[in-house]
Amino acid sequence: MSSATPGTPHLRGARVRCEELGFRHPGGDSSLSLASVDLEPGSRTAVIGPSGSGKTTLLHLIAGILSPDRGTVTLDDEVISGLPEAARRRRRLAGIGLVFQEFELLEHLSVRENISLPFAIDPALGSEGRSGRVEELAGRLGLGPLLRRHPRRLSHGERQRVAIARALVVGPRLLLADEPTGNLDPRTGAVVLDQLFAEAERAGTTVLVVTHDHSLLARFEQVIDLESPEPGGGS
Amino acid sequence: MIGPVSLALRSITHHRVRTLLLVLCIALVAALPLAIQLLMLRHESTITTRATDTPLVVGAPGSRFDLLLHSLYFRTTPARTLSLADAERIGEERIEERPLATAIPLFLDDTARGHPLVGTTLDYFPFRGLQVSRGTLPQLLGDAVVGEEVAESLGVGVGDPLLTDSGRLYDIGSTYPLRLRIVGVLARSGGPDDRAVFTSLRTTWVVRGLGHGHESLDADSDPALLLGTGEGAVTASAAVRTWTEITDENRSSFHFHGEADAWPVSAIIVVPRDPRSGTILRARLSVDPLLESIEPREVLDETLSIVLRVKRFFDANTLLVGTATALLLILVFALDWKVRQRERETLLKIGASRGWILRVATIELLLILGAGAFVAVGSVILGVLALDRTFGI
Repeated sequence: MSSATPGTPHLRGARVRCEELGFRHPGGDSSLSLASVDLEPGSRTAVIGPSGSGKTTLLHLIAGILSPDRGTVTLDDEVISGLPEAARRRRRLAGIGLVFQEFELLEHLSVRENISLPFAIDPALGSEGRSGRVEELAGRLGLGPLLRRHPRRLSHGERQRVAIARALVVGPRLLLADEPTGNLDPRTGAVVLDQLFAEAERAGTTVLVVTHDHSLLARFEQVIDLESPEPGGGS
Repeated sequence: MIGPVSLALRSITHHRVRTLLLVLCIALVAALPLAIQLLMLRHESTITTRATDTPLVVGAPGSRFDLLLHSLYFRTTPARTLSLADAERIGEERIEERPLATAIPLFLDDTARGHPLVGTTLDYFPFRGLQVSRGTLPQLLGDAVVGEEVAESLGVGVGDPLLTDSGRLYDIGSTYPLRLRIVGVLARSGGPDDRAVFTSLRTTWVVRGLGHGHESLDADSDPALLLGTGEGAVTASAAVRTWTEITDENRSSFHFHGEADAWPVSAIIVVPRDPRSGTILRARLSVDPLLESIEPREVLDETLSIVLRVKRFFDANTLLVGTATALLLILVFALDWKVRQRERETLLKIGASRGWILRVATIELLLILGAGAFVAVGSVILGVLALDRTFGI
């Protein structure tokens, strides 16, 4: 596992700490075993490793989608891995943004509706003027003229930007991206990643990105290599 | 901001073809039994009300069902008739010098432009609660009053003529059709009276050929019609008239041959003064072998019980088809649920609860079911209205 210099601490971003994490998919061969990972607030971290090494599993464990077989995931000072599923879900909805390789947009919703989906799930999130962020984010990500369109009429790059906007619309303290450029050509991927970083930096959001693209690693402050025989998260 | 209902609506409108097929499936399955049930209820109510309101009907011995259909719904003609004397005798039945009932004779054996021509007395109209919306009730020989639907369908009104139909086309001895004069139109009652033409008993007897008038052929007549004159005899062409008309000028010439007591009536509606009178009258009539008396409600219930048995078979068939379709719909929804699994997983990952996802799916299902039910009810109402207009059922 390699590491990079931690980024400048941000007040807005979440501090993430994973300790002695272990997880095996039920009935599956793939498993994850990790000594420790620390993500500083506002830092940018990449996760690399071969297929089946547990990159996506790590993201899901940190997001609280999965619960580890052993070890803990701590978000700031709260051990979220021990929380009931409903509590993990609430924390994820309000504080963790997720971006997927396949975009995972709802085809029957417009761009505006896709971006504001978290507000539909929990209307309380849309209070305090946060719903105004839809237009603001869409404008910054170049989606302003596309707000009424449906995903099927968007390019891959546009779709991924919609997914990023959806992940950031509630102002999360942690952004988890699973190969966000995996389905994009290198040039579009670079643009999308620039925009992702710019938005995260603007809000001071902590970023963890799973990637296969080693050419991008220089842009991260920390890299977690799950292929490394040495256990534990690098820093 | 969108909520679960908007999300469900977006999904429904996005998958238009799927939604349309599902809605049509549901509508078809629901519409058929619904339409039958509605028609049954409507007509059961109309039919039974009329039967319940008719305490007793007397006719010549024969089919009770025929007598019921004839006297209440103006359908079928009994094989045998009674006489006016029978009606008068029933009307004169007394106990302690008090009449037991009012007898309303009916004679129905002909039609006027396809509508039943019902000869009766003026007592019939208040008994059925019928009132004229225009004109008056028939007063003179040759006068007729038509039901609202007859007036609508034939486009006739007060003052218009109405020709009876030639029932015996190949009977050269039969009488010419009678040209009736419409003096009134009945207000709509929602029953068979709307589709009938009413006139006096004597007018129907004229139609039947039991009474007639005489045309005068004299110097004022068309010379082409006069074939010859002899000693006290005038020979005229058969083209003199193709119909008979009772006018103010010739009314006095109309007369009937034979005994008035023997003139026919096809049914007699008997309205007892009170339940006790009804019981006494039923007992008296039951011992008369020349009369058949029926209580319409009783005969109708027998008929309906047969119809309801048939309906039960139909209901069973509908249940089977409905179950098969419901299973098919469940399969479609299950497949749709499976196809959209990834969509649900995304929502779960973002932070939606399973309950919230289920709520959206349920709303979507309910909206589709609701749309199907709406289409079914709408088409049934339109269908029933169309049936009403087309067939008058």
